[in-house]
Amino acid sequence: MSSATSIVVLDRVRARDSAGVSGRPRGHLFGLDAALGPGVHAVLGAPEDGTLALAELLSGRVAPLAGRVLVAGREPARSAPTRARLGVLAAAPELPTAGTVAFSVGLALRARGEPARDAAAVLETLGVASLLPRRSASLSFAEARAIELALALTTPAALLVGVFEPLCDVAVPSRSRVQQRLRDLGAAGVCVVVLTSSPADARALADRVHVLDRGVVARTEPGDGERLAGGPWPRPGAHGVVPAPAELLVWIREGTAADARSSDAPDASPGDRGVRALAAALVRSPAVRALAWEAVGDVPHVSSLRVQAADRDAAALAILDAAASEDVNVLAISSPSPSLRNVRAATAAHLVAMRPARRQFGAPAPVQAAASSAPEVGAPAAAGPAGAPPPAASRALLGEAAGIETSSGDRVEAPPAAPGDAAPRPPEEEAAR
Amino acid sequence: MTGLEHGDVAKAPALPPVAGEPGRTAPLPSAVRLGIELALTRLYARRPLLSCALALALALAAAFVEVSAGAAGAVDRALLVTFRLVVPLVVFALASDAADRTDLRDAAWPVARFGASSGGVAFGVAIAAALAGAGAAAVIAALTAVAAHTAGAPPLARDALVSAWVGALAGAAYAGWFSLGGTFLRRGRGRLAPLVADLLLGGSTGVAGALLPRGSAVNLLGGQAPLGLTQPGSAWLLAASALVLAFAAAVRCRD
Repeated sequence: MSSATSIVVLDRVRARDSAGVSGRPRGHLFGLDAALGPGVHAVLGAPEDGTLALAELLSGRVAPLAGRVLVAGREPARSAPTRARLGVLAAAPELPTAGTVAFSVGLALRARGEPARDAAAVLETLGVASLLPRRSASLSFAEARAIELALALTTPAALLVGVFEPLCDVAVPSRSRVQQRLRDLGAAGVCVVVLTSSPADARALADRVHVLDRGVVARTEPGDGERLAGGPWPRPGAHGVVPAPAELLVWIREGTAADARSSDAPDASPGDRGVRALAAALVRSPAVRALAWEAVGDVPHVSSLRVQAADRDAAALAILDAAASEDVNVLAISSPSPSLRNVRAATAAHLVAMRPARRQFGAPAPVQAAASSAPEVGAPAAAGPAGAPPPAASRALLGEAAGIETSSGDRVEAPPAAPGDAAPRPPEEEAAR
Repeated sequence: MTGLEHGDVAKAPALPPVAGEPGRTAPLPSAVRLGIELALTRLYARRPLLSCALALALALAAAFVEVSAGAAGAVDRALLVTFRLVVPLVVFALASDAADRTDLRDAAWPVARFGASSGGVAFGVAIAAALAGAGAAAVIAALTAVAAHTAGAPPLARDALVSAWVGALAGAAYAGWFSLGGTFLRRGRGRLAPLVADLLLGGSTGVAGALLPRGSAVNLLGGQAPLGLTQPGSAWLLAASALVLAFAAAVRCRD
């Protein structure tokens, strides 16, 4: 994004928060560069990655140790008029201390140049106006954050709305109202920055997800989160870091599909014609890397199968094929949000792939032809044709072999690949030979 | 929990349009007023009131001890004890509470974050601390004079009024020092420095005695004058130091 359209500019920012024990820093930012324009941006990371430090910087609470933080060309830590156009939900509530919530909200409104009588209208936007007569000291953590969120989302002529975990620990009756308001603000040209450690929240809210990894923005992905936990395939010899696989969750009704269509309830134990049959069929599919299943505790005759695959679409097709061939009644296939751990693993793979391959001492430089035929980072060349699963050699490179892992931890190895199924060597390896 | 029903959301009015009137912030006088209100709400709490009650009890106990020790000069001795120990401590407690027991910039932040001038809000907090300190010190000094009054002492009303006046000036000056000190070190621990300095050096007749509030207060009560200052000079010095130090604290907290 060009700086001309950027609302928020972070220029080689070094900062640390003071959220640790006795004010010690919990997270740092190391030379952070970013330019954020209108729209909803999610910054995905843990406090240890520097999200708290970034939240403090964006709100103007502190100035960076080095570098610059600019909102519409001004530093929020030094410009009161700029702060009046920032909507901020901090990690911990920072409402003005006052006897009642009404007085506290009134002080905040007067500070940003609005009449205090608008307090009820501001809180009513999120349905929390009933908190107004309460004493400030009686508010819970989540209630105080809800009031701050209402203030942040109603900032007049907002430039930046920076919210820390807006869908967590906020006592609002409806989260969808918060989501809709954040989207509306982004669509209206406000730079909305959502700082969260939840990939699901980031996917739900943002147009773009910036992964903050140990103090720097390691990568930026579209807000659909499709690639959040799926990094690029590492080039052969690129330190062997394994990208996090895509994961699918399949809900299966035990018994055959014909049983399900009949009026008689199937009296099948888990696995008779359900999840075990599907798993056995899938283990032969090269699209699947690992499987694990378990019975769903609350629902009788329903099991869930967790499928790990390199390619989400190929795995889904393989599941449908296997279900059709084995006559298994699949209730649903969902794509669970990746955990932050998976996102971090994918980010590590991404960073390794972006790093130039290390050449052994004394080894000749790769010839130009080999370099030109090397697959692009993130391109599916190493994984075979587009949408196709990676060849066996790539799977071996990734240190993963397809297999079945049961809920009890048993692992059934996949049958060995046929001799003729050997994958072609990667171009760089060929070049080295 | 909020106790809110989901029906409340349906009844909630539509959110205001995302575009609004830009560039409206609280002007500087409003920021100062907001700072005063913010600090006064902090001071209208159990802990500051308890501090005042404790200080008053201590001053009255000292007065009764001095009266029982000897009627002659009991008022002077009781007031010296009060101005040496009780007044600095109670104003220290009030200034800390006005700043929410943190540094002055952080104390102003809950209002400054919404667009009010940080320096203006901090000045308001310092002014509120000075007003509270002056009031508390005046009441304590006047009641000490009343409690220690004996037959040979000057007229009661005049003694009480003068003590209250000196107490108010000294309290405001102490608050100024503590507000400025509260801009140094983490969580405003710098305000301990003027307290310790006053306890150790405030009784001198040199420069330290003139700068620190106790020397001037003792001069106003009829004690030794630091640097040979006259009593009106000491009064002006106390009043000026209260204002100048509060202003300096605000400057250190400016945006």
